[in-house]
Amino acid sequence: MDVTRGRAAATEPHGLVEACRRGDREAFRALYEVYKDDVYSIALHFTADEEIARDVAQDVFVKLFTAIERFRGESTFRTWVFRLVANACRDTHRRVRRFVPIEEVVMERVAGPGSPEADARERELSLRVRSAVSELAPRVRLAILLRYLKGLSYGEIAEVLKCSPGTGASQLNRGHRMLARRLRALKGEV
Amino acid sequence: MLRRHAIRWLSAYRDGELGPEKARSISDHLERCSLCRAAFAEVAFGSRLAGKLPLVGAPDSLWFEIERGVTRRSRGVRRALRWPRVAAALTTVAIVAGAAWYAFLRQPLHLVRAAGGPSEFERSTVEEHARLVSGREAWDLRTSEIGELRSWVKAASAVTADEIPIERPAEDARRLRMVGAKVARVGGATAAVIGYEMDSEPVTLATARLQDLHDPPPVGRFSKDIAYRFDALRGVHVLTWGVGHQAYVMVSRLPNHGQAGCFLCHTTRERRELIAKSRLEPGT
Repeated sequence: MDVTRGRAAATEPHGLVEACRRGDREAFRALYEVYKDDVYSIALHFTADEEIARDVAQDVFVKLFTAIERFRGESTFRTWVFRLVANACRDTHRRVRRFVPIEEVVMERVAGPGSPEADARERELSLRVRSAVSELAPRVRLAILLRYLKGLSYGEIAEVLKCSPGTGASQLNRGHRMLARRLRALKGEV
Repeated sequence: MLRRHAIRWLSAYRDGELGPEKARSISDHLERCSLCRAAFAEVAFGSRLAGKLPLVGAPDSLWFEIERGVTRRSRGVRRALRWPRVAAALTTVAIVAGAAWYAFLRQPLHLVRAAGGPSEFERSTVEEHARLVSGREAWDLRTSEIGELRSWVKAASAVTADEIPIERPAEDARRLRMVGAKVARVGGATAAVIGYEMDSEPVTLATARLQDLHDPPPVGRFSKDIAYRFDALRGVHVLTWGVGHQAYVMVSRLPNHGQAGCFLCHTTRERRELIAKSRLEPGT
């Protein structure tokens, strides 16, 4: 399992946060560049809809930039950011009860190294995983996305989802087992 | 020693998230319990699957949308923070406005009959459409791939086509066919012109930077303020709007007011149903 994606960005961009508090627009842009792909990816995989994901990502960053003065440092900054993402995803789920089912969406964006055949297999695999993830219950889905797209630790996931560490671990456990059962046909390929 | 099964701890155990004593007790239990060993294999497989989730880059145009939202909101919020009672009142207004905004978002397009004569941008795009459809004009890029088209537009012009989603709903396999793109002088500006077919009808979409146009369309307060006119000479619908830093003109013979051409960028079933129901309002 590769959770190294998030580790490289684990250090807080402290200088940027302070500059944003002072209203520095360049700092806003730099902070956006740090988090944009993570926020958008989580929103996209959660909603399985590009347009709604853009709305979610926009909401998150607008809230982040306009409420940054109220960030009191009770959690790490990145935990705070991902809590905004989790809340926005859940709010969207409550409002738009039906997302376009992932099987109706053709995913063309995932490209990998290697032969065209290997790339096509990898894309197909990613598509099926995305489809299975989109069918998970919202809290389980969020736990999986926070872990595998951003590499958050179990403790950080619990902070973001505002639950006990045991509950967070339980959500991930459930997610792993449900994915395994839904995609058991892929056992030889992963 | 664990007296009960260890299933709920297996993910945390596998990911090294348990303390040493707990981890040892799980390890000991797994040696004796085939049920938990099977569950562990399941958890491990599920974890490998989840590791296949790809990180997806945010669209380039997202920043502009955020900037507008921040500028609009932070002006009001900063002043409000100085006066707690005013802040509370403004928060209430923001919540109500947010609900109204959401309700507005669920409305069809705001299609308004255009006032006055066509702009240079509109005239040029209608002529470009006629030339392209008749074959008197060639595309600079012929492609059926949206990804390729987006990259080309970004490299070849000062505008982007990143609003066009690469992921498409299944129905677009029979409804949408991308044709190509070109760069052209339209309305006094260098524009990207994109051609596609929706429901077998050719559609031409021109986009240019607002600042480059001699007579740019007004940028609506909401991205759904769209001006409509019918070009009787050529028998085409012309839709014009501005959003962010770019202006757009769409020309086609699609039914009603040609709004199905908007399905290039609007791909959800819900949104398409709203767009299809849009009514034309008289101009002001």
